Amino acid sequence: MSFLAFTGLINTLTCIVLGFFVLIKHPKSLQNLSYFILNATVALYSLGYFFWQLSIDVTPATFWFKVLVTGFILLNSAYLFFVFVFLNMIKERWRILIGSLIINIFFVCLNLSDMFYRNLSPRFGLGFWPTPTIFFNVYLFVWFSQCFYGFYWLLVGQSLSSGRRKEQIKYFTLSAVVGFFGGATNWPMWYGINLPPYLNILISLYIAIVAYAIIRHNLMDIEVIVKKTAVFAGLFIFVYGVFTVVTILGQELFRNTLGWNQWFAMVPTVIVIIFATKPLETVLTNVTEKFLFQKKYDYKQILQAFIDEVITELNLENIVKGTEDLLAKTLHPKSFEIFLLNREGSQFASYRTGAFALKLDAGLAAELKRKKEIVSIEDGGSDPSKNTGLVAEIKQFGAVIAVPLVLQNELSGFMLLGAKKSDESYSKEDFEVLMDLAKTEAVAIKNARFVEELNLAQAELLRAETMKQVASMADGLSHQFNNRFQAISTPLGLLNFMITKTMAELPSASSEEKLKKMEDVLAKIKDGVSKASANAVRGGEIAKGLLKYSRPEKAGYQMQDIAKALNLGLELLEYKHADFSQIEIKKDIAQDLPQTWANMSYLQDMYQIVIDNAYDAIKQRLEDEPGLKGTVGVRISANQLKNLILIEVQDNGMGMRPDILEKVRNAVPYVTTKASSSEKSGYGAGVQVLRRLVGFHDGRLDYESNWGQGTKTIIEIPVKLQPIDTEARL
Amino acid sequence: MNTILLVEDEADIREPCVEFLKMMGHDVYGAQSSKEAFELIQKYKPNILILDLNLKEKLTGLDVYKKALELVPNAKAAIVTGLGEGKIAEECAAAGVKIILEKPMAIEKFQETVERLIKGE
Repeated sequence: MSFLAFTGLINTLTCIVLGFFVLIKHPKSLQNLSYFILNATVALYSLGYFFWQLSIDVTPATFWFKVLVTGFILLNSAYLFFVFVFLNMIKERWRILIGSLIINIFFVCLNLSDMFYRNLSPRFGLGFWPTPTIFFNVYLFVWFSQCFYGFYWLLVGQSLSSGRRKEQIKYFTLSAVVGFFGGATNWPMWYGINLPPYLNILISLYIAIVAYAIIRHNLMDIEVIVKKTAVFAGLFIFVYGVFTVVTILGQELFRNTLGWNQWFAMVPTVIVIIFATKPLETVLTNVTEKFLFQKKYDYKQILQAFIDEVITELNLENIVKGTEDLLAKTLHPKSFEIFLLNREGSQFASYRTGAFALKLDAGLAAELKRKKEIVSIEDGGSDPSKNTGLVAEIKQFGAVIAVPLVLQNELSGFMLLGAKKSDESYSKEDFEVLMDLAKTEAVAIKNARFVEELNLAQAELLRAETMKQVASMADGLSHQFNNRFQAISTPLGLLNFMITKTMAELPSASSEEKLKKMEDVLAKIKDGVSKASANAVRGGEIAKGLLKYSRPEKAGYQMQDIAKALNLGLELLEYKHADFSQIEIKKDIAQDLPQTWANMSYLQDMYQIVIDNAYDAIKQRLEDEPGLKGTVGVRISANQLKNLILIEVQDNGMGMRPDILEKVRNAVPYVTTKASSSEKSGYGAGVQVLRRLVGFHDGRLDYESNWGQGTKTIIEIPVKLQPIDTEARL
Repeated sequence: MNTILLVEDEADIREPCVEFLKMMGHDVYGAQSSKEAFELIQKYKPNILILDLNLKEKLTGLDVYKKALELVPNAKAAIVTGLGEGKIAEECAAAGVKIILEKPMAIEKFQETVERLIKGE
């Protein structure tokens, strides 16, 4: 077989294999179909070339020559068809394509009718070559025109594209140049110029370049499967082949040296192959993954590690920072920005700056919401499905891809990534990794935001409860102070009246009457001044009590006697509720209570809330049972080991129904026990605050209750002899 | 002759006021609680009621007035409060009480109010 025949054979095989492979990958893709047709015409040309070169007689040589010429004539139309489809120009250029096909069919007819060339004859020892006619000369011009026309559009397409798309066009252009050049090296021989067309083999190089572009730049959307299976298969065959040869040699050794018969000598070989096949496959799989697909293997490891970490992260700032760091380590984008839906759900805003608000139902956000997959403008917007507004919107942030964060079918945000620092395009593999990351990110962000809102709500609740307490206190204190002032003003006012009256009566009175009146007035003065003084002192005591509340004794966490805060809590309730004294408070406080690390202010609040709730419950019951004597029993004790303080507050109020009790025990927020659901609840929002206050001391809160009979509030506080981590507290 | 009932749980306020009104020549009785008030109303049928709003019990002074109207339907009343008029004005007006006194007040103001009530305001 001559070298030229060999080139024909290799070209045929490579064209057929790659052509079919591309078609099988995406049989419904017009692009892949057009590429198959192109390769089919090249294969036809190459097949004809092979057999033509093998021919030793002019008759078969002529036949196969006509085949190869038909191939290269139709090749140009197939080439233009592929170029137009590849560059998304088919709709605008279909007339030119039809024109080209008609012209080429005409030339095929000329080829078949012997008008293209005359008399094949042996030439320079390189087979049978023709003598071209005028028609062929015209055709040659048309051939070159069509070639350059295709190249022109490829160059235009390349200049209008960017990123991965640009690379794809560039490599196909190169492959076409190489292939056409290789084929064009045959023309000199047509005209009797002794220039052996050994470069005809470049057609296989055209195939190799296209194959490379597929692997490296996802030409025709074919990627991983080719790499992995081809490389793995190649490795497996090589290693397994070596392995098998060695074992078979061993078999020969057994036969020759140990004298085993042929069949018996095969046994060790068979055993080794059976047991070694699976481990060998496993090793090769790992090697293929680790060393040949290092990038994806690393991605998987890093991504898995990140997922494990981020899914438990509840701080939004840490999630965003962690994501940015991860992407910087793996994909190296030039820029990264994350946009999240605002609390009102009306627009997306940059997390970092809060600026760049993007509307929910327009532009990029709408596109991501609709597609729920990555939007990329790396192809420079040559895809007509991407409108220019969308491209501009992504570009304004210096980004090239937008990754949606979708949870439960809703777009909660998106990430914008700039081009890679290496200028490589984002591969399909990168997109898969990013989408996996985005799914986890969306969940993590939702969790973090939920916790944020919960903390805000709790803080607001605590503030509202405090304000409510202050407002209630204000009424009670106002009443108390005004009463004290009145109790000072009234006796003194009476005194003033009496003195004035007596002074008016004195002049006309007798000595004895004057003395009597003076004695009466002095007695009244004594009484009045005494009352005024007592009420002034009482007013001062109320003010001091208020100061104790605003400046609790030993503020902050210190070793405290937990029972001490009880009396202050009760005092404050007396200010709050004018009729608080109607309720009997029974105290049972153990003598030897251990001290514990606690916050006096929080303890006061805690007692106040518990007993205030008891007061409300009693008031509620009094509406139905007016004769009820409300009682609240407070028992404070310690366990035997003295490491736990137990506070039990039992009231004989309305109690809680079982369903409400369960909700309160399970800390369901905003539960109300008021049957009428009016504004004030017995065990409503206050329970949330109480739970938090108990929690500040690492304590436990529980309830027992019977509807219509009363409720017991149970608080367990572990005795702490060392400081509590106050930074974790409110 | 006008009979005045003063309902006030604070003795240091009630007793001087009662004494003052007696010195002004009125027939005056003082009650510390709603229970005592109803007993006195039953007995003396006062036509002037001066009631502290907060009695440190379930019934307020306004509640006492509303119930008292069953016994003395023509009685005129004033409510005395340490919480400020604004909080209870609407409720008092609805009950037919037109005069609200805010603590602390001078004893002369108290006297003036009594006179207004006597005149039938």
